[in-house]
Amino acid sequence: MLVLAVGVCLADKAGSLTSVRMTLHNLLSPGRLVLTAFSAPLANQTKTTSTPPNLSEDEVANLQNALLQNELQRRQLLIENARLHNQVRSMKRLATVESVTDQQLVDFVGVRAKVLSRSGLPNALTEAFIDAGKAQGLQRSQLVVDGTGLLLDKGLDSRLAQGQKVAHGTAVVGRIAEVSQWVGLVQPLTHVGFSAAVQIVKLAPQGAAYGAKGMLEGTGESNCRISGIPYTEAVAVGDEVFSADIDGVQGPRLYYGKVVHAEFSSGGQWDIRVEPAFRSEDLTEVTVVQQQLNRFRTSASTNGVPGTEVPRQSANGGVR
Amino acid sequence: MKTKVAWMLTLWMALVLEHSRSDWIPSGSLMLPLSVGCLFWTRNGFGCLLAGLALTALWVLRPSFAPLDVVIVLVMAAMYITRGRMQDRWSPAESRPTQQTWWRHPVSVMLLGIVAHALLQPETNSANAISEIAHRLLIAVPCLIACLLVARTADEFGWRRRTTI
Repeated sequence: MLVLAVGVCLADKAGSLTSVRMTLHNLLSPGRLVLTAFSAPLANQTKTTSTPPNLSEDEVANLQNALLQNELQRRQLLIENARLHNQVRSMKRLATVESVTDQQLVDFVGVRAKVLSRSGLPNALTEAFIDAGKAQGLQRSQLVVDGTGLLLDKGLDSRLAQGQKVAHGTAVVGRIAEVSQWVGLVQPLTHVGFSAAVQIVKLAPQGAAYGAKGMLEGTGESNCRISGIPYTEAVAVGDEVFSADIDGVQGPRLYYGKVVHAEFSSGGQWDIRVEPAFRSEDLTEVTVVQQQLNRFRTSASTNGVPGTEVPRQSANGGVR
Repeated sequence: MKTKVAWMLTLWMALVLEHSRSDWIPSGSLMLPLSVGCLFWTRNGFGCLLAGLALTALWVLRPSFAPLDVVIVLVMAAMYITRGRMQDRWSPAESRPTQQTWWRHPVSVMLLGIVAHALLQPETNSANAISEIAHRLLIAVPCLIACLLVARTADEFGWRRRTTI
């Protein structure tokens, strides 16, 4: 027995005990199953008899905030993981090519805006805006927005423009549908007219990986639909959906939601339903994502080359 | 044969319990007293082999620095059992062990085994060594006492066959 003990110790140091360990696990598994079968009802019984902890409203709010922060962090890590995987893959391909990086030409900034209303511009505010605008020589069409949806307290004065994405944390809420001098109206991503390029991120055992690209469209219900993904692509319930680009420009990946339904449609494509990652009832403050040209680079180029025109932002946020 | 099967099943169940419920039962706190109980119940080569195999399996499932606790338990138990068998031989010139010390050898073997096992665990350090040993003893001591009481009762009622050389 002593020789066996010494032998086992040496074998473990040499790393040759794996098969023995597996055999032992197999030998113990019937007993573990029996134990699990007995302990499961006991655990359920304990759950039913235990009383819920008494938490104050502040503690509940703190816990919810912590949960939200964790969720945001998880999404950021998820997309970072996918990006790094992609980067490693491309680095392996282009390992021999050296590149020189410089400052980004286009930066993305977020403008914080408070949600004034969830059902468009109220009449009381309309009158107030018209009265205040008359003093500055502004017309009615420059002051009010028509339609229903989230009303933000930022407008043309904060360089809001139609089509700019509106996010809560990293989760996309919608886009600016109409904008006036002081307020902006958001078209939620569940609205029928909403569409955006998205990419599916799959959670694999090796880590997150980019999947198929498609077009996310609002359905007018509580969820959205993704179209344009052929049935040859791999899609599963639980996959995460991120933006493919922002108004056609590669930028930070924004989060749209989670795939809750995926099945083959008759047209040889996936019929995918996505549950948005926000609830409009909970929104009090959002961020409007804007593109900005890097001033250092644009000023350097105009100084160096006489007669060069400075690129400006277009009304829909694109670069021209 | 019945005794052998019973001990095999007991040790297997103890291994299952310790391995499945490592959150409730500290490592070694069931296996060591039961192995010691098996050694001192059977008092033969089969008991040594079975207890040694069970303790070695425990070490394989949860490897530590070295299976020194297995060595300590087996060597000490073999020493006590051999000495006890020598003393069992009747000789008018030698004094026989008193009837009150029958529990001392198993308890001392188990205590040393538990201490060695606890100190060899990777999670044990100088700060928590005492508490790790105490946690194990809380389960191990009643378990060994139960084993010894059963053995003593079996002896008293003649349910256990004791081999003599």
